[in-house]
Amino acid sequence: MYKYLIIAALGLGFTACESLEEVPFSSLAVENIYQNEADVDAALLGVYTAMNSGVNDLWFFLATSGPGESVVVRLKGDGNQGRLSSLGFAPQDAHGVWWPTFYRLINRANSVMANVSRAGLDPALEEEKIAEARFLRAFAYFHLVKWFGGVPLQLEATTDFSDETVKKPRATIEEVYAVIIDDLMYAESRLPASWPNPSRGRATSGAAKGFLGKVYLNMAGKPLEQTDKYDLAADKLKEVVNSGTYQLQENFADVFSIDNEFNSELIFIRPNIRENGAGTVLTFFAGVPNSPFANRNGQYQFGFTEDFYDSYDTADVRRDVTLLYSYTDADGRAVTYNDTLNPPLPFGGYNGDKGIGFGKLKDPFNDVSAFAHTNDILFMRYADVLLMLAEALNGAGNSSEALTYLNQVRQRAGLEDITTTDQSELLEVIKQERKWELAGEYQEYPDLQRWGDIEESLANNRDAVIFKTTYSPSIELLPIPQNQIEVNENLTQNPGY
Amino acid sequence: MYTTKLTGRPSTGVILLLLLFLLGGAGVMAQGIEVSGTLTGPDGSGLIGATVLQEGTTNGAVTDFDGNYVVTVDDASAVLVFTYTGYTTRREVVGNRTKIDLVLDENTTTLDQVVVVGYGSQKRSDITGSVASVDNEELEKAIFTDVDQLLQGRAAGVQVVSASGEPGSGATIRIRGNNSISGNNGPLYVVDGIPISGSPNFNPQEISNIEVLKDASATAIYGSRGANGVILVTTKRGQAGKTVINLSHNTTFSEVIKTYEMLNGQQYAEFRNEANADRGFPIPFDNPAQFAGQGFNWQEEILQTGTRNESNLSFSGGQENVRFFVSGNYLVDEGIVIGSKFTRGSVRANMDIDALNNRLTTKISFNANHSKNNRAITNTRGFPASAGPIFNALTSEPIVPSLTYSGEIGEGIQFYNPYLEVTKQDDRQYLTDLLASAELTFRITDKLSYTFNGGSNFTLNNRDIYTPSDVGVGINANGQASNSRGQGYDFIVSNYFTYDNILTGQHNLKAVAGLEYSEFNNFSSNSSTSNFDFENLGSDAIGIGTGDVSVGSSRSLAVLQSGFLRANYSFADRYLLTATIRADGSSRFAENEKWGYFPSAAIGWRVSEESFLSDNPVINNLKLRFSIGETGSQSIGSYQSLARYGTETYGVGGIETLAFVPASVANPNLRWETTRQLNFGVDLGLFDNRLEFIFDYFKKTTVDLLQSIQIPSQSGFGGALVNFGSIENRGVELAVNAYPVTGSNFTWSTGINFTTYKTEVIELGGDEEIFGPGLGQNLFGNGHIFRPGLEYGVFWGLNAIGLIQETDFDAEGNPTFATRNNDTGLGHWKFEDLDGNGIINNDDRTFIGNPNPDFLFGWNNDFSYKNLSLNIFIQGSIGNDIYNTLGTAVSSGFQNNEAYKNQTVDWYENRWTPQNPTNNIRYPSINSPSPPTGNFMVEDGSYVRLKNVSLRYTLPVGGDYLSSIQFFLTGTNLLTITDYTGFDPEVSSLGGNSLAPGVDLGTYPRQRGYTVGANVKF
Repeated sequence: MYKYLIIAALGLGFTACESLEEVPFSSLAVENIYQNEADVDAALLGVYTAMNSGVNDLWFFLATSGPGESVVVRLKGDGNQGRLSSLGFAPQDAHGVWWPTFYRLINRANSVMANVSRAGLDPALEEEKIAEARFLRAFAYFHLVKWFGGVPLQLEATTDFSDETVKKPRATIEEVYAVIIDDLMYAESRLPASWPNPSRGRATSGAAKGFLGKVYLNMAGKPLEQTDKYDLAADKLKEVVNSGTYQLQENFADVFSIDNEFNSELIFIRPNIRENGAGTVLTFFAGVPNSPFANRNGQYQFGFTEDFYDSYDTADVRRDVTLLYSYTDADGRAVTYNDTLNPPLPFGGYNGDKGIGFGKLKDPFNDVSAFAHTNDILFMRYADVLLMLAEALNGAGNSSEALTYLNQVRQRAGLEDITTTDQSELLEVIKQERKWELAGEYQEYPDLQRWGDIEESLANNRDAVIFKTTYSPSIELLPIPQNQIEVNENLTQNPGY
Repeated sequence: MYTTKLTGRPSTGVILLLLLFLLGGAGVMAQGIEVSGTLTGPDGSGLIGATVLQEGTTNGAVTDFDGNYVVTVDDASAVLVFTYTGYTTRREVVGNRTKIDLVLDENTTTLDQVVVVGYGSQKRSDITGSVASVDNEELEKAIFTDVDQLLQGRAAGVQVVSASGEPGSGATIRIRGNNSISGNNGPLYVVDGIPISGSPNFNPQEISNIEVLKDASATAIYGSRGANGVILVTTKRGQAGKTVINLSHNTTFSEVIKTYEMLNGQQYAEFRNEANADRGFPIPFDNPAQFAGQGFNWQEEILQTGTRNESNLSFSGGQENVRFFVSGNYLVDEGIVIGSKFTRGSVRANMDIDALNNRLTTKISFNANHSKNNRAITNTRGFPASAGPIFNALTSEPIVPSLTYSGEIGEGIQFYNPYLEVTKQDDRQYLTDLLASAELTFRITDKLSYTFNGGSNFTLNNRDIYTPSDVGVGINANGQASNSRGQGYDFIVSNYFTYDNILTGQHNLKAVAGLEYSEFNNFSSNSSTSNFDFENLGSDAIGIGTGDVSVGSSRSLAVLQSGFLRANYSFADRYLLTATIRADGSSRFAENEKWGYFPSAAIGWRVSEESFLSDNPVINNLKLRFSIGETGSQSIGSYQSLARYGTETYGVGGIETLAFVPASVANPNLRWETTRQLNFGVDLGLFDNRLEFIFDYFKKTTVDLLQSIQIPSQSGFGGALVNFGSIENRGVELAVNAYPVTGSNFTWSTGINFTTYKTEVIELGGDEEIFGPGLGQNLFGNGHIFRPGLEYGVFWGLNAIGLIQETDFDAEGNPTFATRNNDTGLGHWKFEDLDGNGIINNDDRTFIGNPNPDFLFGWNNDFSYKNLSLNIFIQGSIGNDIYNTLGTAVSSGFQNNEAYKNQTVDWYENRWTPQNPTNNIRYPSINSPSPPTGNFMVEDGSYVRLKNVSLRYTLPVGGDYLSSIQFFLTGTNLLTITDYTGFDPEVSSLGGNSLAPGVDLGTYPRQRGYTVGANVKF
């Protein structure tokens, strides 16, 4: 009898057994997704979300606009902000967070390309999905090559962590551009010209052409100086212009208004919404304290110089949209940027350089969470395309045609037409126009790189003067993040760091 | 003779083990005089399974379920030896008797002590592994809240560092050092045979004894969970007889051991003026003298006298077949930081039932406890909003308008008021823990029994935090609330057979074979929001908040399937052999590596039983032990080997839309960390065990370390969990127990344990090194390195060789030293330029300290004189360094992000100035740069502590109802000898992270306590 008792007890212990195979309850596996088009779209949106990364928006700004002449940071202490703004780049600085961010985006794009066939879509539709992934991959590589120079090319989805997979050495700048061009050419013919309402903000053929033009223009400038690319750039940008899809907003301020999102001037943006994690914190970092434009505790970490303010023509409508020289604060008081009502930095300390607040990022919802501002990140808009087209035409020796496009931008700003057709004189005019038009829109440092103006800019860069930055060729590129150098012995640092 | 008797019977090895269930027959008998009788214990109950052996022969018997035996001896001169584990062995000459009834006394000497081992128990004299025992007598002399803290200094080879002085805070326990870099290094707790996740939450007074299993021979039976050592906790059980009621109460008053002397109002104003003047900025305070005698000493404002009250009531007793132990305990511990309070109720009901003529014994164990912990310190380490009140109490400006001020100060700095943080922040943690088990043992035959042990552990862990709009992170958020709910449900079922045959002459075999199934279910959910326009209800009405809402939930299941075998074989009580093997299948591990096998073997030689030592007047016990084996660690989360996708959202079209993102890459080879350990031990007892030595040497090598390594980000992933690398641990443990005075009135017993070990990183699978995490407060970078050839987690940073002096510049004014970030400021740190390139950067980092102690020790003394007893317990850690990051933050005069912190008087008075051109790296000049991790943060953390002094007086009461009353006075942490300048050298701010030992970020300060109490026994 006891024998049966024991057997019964043993049975009791083991009938309830779960198997050793794991089936996660709270996460997905590749087998559960990629079932249909909606799944593929969700995976594609996952590529875009790689760019949503909280405080990193600040470092994106400081690595692109920060090194420009007009931007000053208000934290002058021993920190990332001061180094980026003064071009005193260091390998451990925070611009480096965008290295993993861009590569995360690249891997997600690669992963969509690798898995999209599981959904069994119509071939043309499948190509459209691949085109979207390839556009995004090109977008990331373009930033990487501009920031860091030749970077490792990861063109397959990562499925293991072998050295061959994850410790690839750097490719050359030319090789990276070749991949970008290949991707964008694939994308431009397959992406839709526009998206219906709920999908606005996804990549379009216009965005692919616009970036292809931008890529050619940059290849024509320094460091490659492949001047034959000016023609290619002009052709491609003209396609964008001639498509008729995009127009300048009549009123410059409307470009940036959160009440006018997805307006017809915008070509490629990161749409932000009023949700933590899906909004931007950049508005909070830009926001002046006691702000009617941002979370009330806006940190006002950076601003623009008075010299830059003074450089605008008084008739230029862009000046007071871009710069909050005087404004009304949340308590209804009139504040001029350098008076005592404009309080000092919330972190305290010296306030010699307050900087003029940034007016393009305004969110009247000043009780939202700091991370939930809805201002979109504008990566490319039509005015940029017009100015690039003018630059490309001028570079290709077609200065008079360049004026057409340049003056469209100037007319909207309320300025008189430019008439000079002297190539080098016109180039200087176009450069200045870009600084006025696109201030704080992540163009300054890439533009200076392309123009070869970095050395010259140091004397006009207030932070570079304060931090006594001396020119060295190393500052033509940002340093590769130190932590990446440490884990990949095949990755060589840019010279001078 | 015995060999012939064994003929035809498989005598050793696994074959026998597998067949042993089939065996059950009695031993072979000889002809002669038949003797019978009954063996009973002191309580009158029959002793089941005791052995009766004719001395010098293999002839004998085993008592039945009532303690009865029948044995036939050769003749009247035969001597019968009666042995029963845990009882005194008796020898009786048969003479003309045919009936011999005996009462065996319970044996309390160490050698015959019964030691609980996994899935059974053994006599200490038979143990071949390394097992340390701590019994409740030792534990009852001190004040403990947590089981974790009990073992500090009490057992050789065990390092206990309590994370902080916070009421209810746990401790970090390491048995024989760290085995893993990124995995778990904590031991496995087994409570009454039930392995639990984490450490026990119940009242330590429910514990009867603790065994610490250290070497592979002892731990391999726990296989994949045994690598970090196993702590077996046995709770108190009832004894048949009169019901004993025990009532006790104690009250402790405690105070902070040490505080920092910070600048007062006037000094702070002078300091800030000087700092600004130095940088050419406007002076913030026109007249520092106006603050004379003013300013808040924030440490005083947040500290109080702690009060701890503990009451305990227990009943135990029962009859021969049903025995019980029931206890209740209530504890309220108000800590020395205002607002911290730990409250716990714990109930235990243990019952033993013997049935079916004692063939079936049942042990039921049940504990329920619930605690509420009001936390004063939220352990986030962001600066400054969430640095916590301790950090802020030191760094905050003393000059503010009022004690409850929460606004801007000076030049627009947000002031984070530490007083408001402790008085207004509401942070409650609720823990409910139900642990129940039932162990049924059925004696199938005299030799073979079957045990079923089933247990379940149910835990609820809830935490509600509300940070009001004038405190810390609540200021920006306009009030911030979070609720988190965790629920764990583990259950375990073990079935095993125990075979115990001691009837084959001098051969003894005891074997255990069984199967076990465990399941670990976890559920969690959390929600948080901000922006509370009505704050009174806080996190209890989180819906009031109108800010962004964040919610989440998760569920996981892990399964462990196991089989295990153990055989203990001894020959002539002299030569001992133990072999174990366990097979574990774990769901947590990858497709290709689901099963692991963990064998061990040990031999022992009781030299003192040999004829040449048996009559030695000095040596009464000498045993040599040697063991070798493998154990594992499987402490990774579920699903880590799978390629998983997560979800995020993207605001496409202005609408929050679901997105799928790859979250991990599959690792089909993720497997156990395997620890190979060898152990050599000597047990020596002299002068009738009045002097005992237990010595162990061990060497452990852990391979296939589970590492969450940084993967080059170009892969699209930041890190991955992989197996690579190995570390080695070797050390020596010595325990000495002595009974120097054993008079009838006065006794003195003393025990010293000593532990030294060294943990070395052997290889890291091709990676040159692993760095630890940032040291915290957003101020300091990483400071620990794991590199082959170096000790575990040593400190790595820049080596300051002095301060920059006026003489350090050449005629052109160029520095004659290597600069860091072009800093040439006078009185700033001057660093050693190791690579000689003239620039100080990360390449110049070097070894700057070692958090691993040279040795640890504990020294316990018990004196008794008549009814008075005195316990003095001293414990220490020698040779370990500490990163005093808190100290550096408040004693280097640096400015970071343009925010100043209050500084210590010591720094201010001794800092570098042109008039005081000191070269001491602890005293840089005002406005020194934000400190890199460097040697100036490192201090010697050695300490010797008078941990416990307890004086007890037992009032002799001889009444019918009242049996005794004991009064006691106990002092805890009365004296600490150390050179460490922080609050306390026993500190582990990042205790949960093995990668960052020995960091002081300003945790809850430790206290000195004075306790008065009484125990009444009815």
